[in-house]
Amino acid sequence: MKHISRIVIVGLGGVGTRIAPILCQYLTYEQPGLPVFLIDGDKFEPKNAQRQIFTSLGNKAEVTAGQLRKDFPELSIEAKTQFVTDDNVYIYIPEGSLVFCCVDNHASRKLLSEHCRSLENTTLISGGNEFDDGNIQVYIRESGKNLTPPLTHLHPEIMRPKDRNPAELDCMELSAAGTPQLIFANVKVATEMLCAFWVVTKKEVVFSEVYFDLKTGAQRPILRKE
Amino acid sequence: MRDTNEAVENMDNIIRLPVPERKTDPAPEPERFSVQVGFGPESREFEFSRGDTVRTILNNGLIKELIGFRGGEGIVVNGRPVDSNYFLNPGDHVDFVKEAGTKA
Repeated sequence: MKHISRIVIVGLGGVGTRIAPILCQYLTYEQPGLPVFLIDGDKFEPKNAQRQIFTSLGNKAEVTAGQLRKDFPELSIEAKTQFVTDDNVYIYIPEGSLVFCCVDNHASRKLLSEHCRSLENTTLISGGNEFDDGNIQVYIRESGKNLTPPLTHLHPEIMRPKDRNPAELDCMELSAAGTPQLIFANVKVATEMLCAFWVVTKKEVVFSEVYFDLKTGAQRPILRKE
Repeated sequence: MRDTNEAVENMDNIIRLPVPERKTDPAPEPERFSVQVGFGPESREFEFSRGDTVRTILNNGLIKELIGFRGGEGIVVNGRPVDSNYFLNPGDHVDFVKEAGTKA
């Protein structure tokens, strides 16, 4: 496996809570010594049960980490109960991190992409969906060079986000931020992100984005060269 | 009527002749050629003429409607970023970069 110092999952919502258990199951047999960090400042509420996996209410990172520690005792799983911000991103995501970006806002995607761009070696796998379609982006940086483009490259909506980091929102705004989502779109994004992880760590990456549409069944990788 | 044996012998001679080297340059690029145009998971082949650019695609309302892009997206050809002045070549794959999904 490519050298990775830690795996970081940012955002434990409909995508992040799907990725985490499958990734831990894989790592248990493939690389049990690799630490896993879960980051989310949000909390599980009853309304999340329609799409997200949790066994109790409370901070999303803490609840998910607690369950994963029970299910996968061989792994080192740590929870960070804050939203990722300018002030903590460099602590949570050091050199060699492989990051799953499962957030629901472009402001955080931009923050993660720009932080990864400041590192020598890192991989950022980002995913998002609308109601019934979605896509993932794979940003790989090795020895200070971009092997694939950062998220902000050719994505002006991430470069100049219209939304805000959830750390800047008050409780009312956070509560109102949710819009209807289809659980299958979340599962599809999570699956594509996990497949990208496998390709990044085991094969040569030939794509930097994957698009899908659940309505038509269409799916297409996009070749991107820096 | 020619003798059959003689005809076969002549045929053998023809077959044994060395293949002449091609004297002319390879065929010039065709005036009309196909280019793959994609947006998100959708991709289709369209025909263009020599001298057409990415702007030709942007100005074609039918292609925009069929593929679904708006025209303000980033553009890559064969995986590399280009601007609208890029001249299309046979076999090019033009992608209009769809917005990243917002939810998760």
